[in-house]
Formats: sequence, C-alpha cells, structure tokens
Amino acid sequence: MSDITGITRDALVATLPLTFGQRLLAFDSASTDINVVGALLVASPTSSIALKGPGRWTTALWDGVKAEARKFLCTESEEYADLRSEWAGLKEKGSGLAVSALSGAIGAKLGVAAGVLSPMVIWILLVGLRVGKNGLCTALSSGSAPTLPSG
Amino acid sequence: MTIVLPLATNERLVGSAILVGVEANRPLFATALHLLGDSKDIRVAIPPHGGNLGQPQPYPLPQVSATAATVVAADPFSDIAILHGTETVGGNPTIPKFAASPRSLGVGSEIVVLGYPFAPIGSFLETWTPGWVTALAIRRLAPGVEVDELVLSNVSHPGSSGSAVVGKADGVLYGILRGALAPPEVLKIGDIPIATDTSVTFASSAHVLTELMASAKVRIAEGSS
Repeated sequence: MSDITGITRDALVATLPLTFGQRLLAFDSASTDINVVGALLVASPTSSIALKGPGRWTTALWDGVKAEARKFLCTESEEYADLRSEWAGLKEKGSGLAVSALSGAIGAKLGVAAGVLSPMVIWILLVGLRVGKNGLCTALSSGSAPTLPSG
Repeated sequence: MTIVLPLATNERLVGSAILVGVEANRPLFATALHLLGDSKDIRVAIPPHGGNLGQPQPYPLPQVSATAATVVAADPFSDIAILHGTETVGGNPTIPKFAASPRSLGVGSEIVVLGYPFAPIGSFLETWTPGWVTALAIRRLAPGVEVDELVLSNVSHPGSSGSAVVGKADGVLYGILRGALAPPEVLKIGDIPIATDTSVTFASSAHVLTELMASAKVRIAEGSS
C-alpha cells in the first residue's frame, strides 16, 4: 500500500491551470462525491459537441483510472511495485513529480498519455487528503461514474 | 501569422495543433484534449509548407516528418491540452497573442479558421476559412463550472478539432475549435449524434491559454515533461 502523507492540496493544484485547480478545490471543499467529479472530468471534453476527430475519447477512462489508482494506493499489487519503491523519494522531491510518476504508470497500463490523466489523479489524491487512506480506498472501490446528461 | 500543424496519435492523423509558445527551446502546441483520449504516442507533423499558408502545398505527400510531443497541461472543462514537442525549435517562430478575455470578440466579428479538415482520412492540406462569430456561448457543466465558447458560422469537418480561430483583423488567437453542435438530447447511433449541425461550430475561448501555459511551464520546470 502506498501512503499519500507528505502531499499537500496546494502543491497538488499548483501544477494545474489556475481556474481549473480552483474549481477542483471548490469541489473538494464541498465534499463532492469522487465519482461525480470524476464523471465530469471525463465527460466534459466531449459534452454537447459532435467530435471532429476520430472520437477516441471515452468516458470509461474514469473507471480505469480509479481501478489502477486503487491497485497502487490500496493493494500490494506487483504491477506497481517499482513505483511503490520510489514513491517516498518522489513525494520528497515534489508533489508534481509524484503525480506525474503515478499518472505515467497508470497511463502505461491504460495506453493514455500521462498528462491527460493528471487532472484525474490529482482529484483522487485531493479526495484522499480529505477522507484519509481508508476512506479513499473505499471510494475507489465504489461503483462506476454516475451518468451525466448525454451530448 | 499563426502556425497550425497536423496532429497524429498512435500513428494516425486526428486533428490540428497550434504553435502557442516555446519553452526550454522546444515548441508548445495547443489542441483539443478530446483528441488524446487513448493516445500514448502523440506527434505533431510538419508538412513541407511548415504551417505557412502563404506557401503552395504539394499533395499527396508520401510521408511527412513529425516531432513527438508530451501533454504538459490539460483543462478537461475547456477541452484544451498543451503539448511540449521533443525537438528543439529553430529560428524565431511567430507566436500569436491570445484573447485577453472571453468577450474580446463580439458577435458578428470576422474570424478565420486555420486547420486540417479531413486530417483523419490522410489530408495534410491546411486551409484558411473565413467566417463570423454567430454567438457567444457559456457551456454549463455543473454548478460553478462554466466554459466560455465561441459559436462560428464555419462548417466543421472530421479533423477540424484543434484548429485555430483567429481574428481576421488582428491575428489574435481567439479560440480552439472543438466540434459541431450536437444538442444533448438528440438520437445517437453509438456515439454518433444523428442531429449534428456541422454549420454550427463550437470553439473554446482561447483566453484560458494564459493559465494553461503557466501550468505547462511549471510542469516543464519540474522536469516532468
């Protein structure tokens, strides 16, 4: 299991665009459900538009990120053993580096660029700082993202 | 002059990317985040005209050079990502000014869309398409989460996502094209809305680029690019 102590809210959002980071903090301060914001993070890039690319964005991404984050943070799974051994050092060097490393490891599993996943990973860690390790692991095991209006 | 180049993910053209800065001697590009959903391999292609629309563009092109890029900032609410190229930039590339605010451009203003329509079917042809701002929109995602958008008279095509929306008079980058109107409750076949109106085109306001660029620079300085 990997600890999130040493990571701070301010350091987490410092790497995000200012307004976007403030919105995540506002959701966190309002104790918004982890899946409500997760669903928003994956649904909003495509909401209300007909995509004008090949449409590779998928709202299933949130469930994948949650499952992988749970493996790293809440289990001793072999898949994340290397990152787990480096985790304390990464946190010491800076929360941004720790987020990048975790996003990169999850991205490698899901086949998605780390930078695309960083906002979701930061949201998960923000929730963890609020509810504690056990609460986060319970939240990461909770059902899939609630359905948002389509479009 | 705004330089727009074709964007490829997993060795397939998907849309357009706009040169918006240089950091650590490497280019920064803005594009539509939704193009990057299942992509580990991201590249910005460099066709022979180099994004200079004043140059004739040969076609078809058997192969085109490309620079790999990593995502260094993303705002899912605005559907914008910043990419950092892995190869150094030569010369002194022109970087556009960004919109100062979402209301910098009014309804009826003349704009130009620069991008690669039909990139997903292999087209490297960049086009300059004039149009008008037909509405200023505010997309409400959730309480407290609103996104400023421009609605354009231009027709959008597959590959238009990530195109630059530039003021015709001043060359300022006012928006990044997202897609065409698909009202939330329309019928769909799979993920494809049936009632799409491709002549009602939406772009995220580019004023958010200032914050995205600052975020990207922090990430690059940390060495996580």
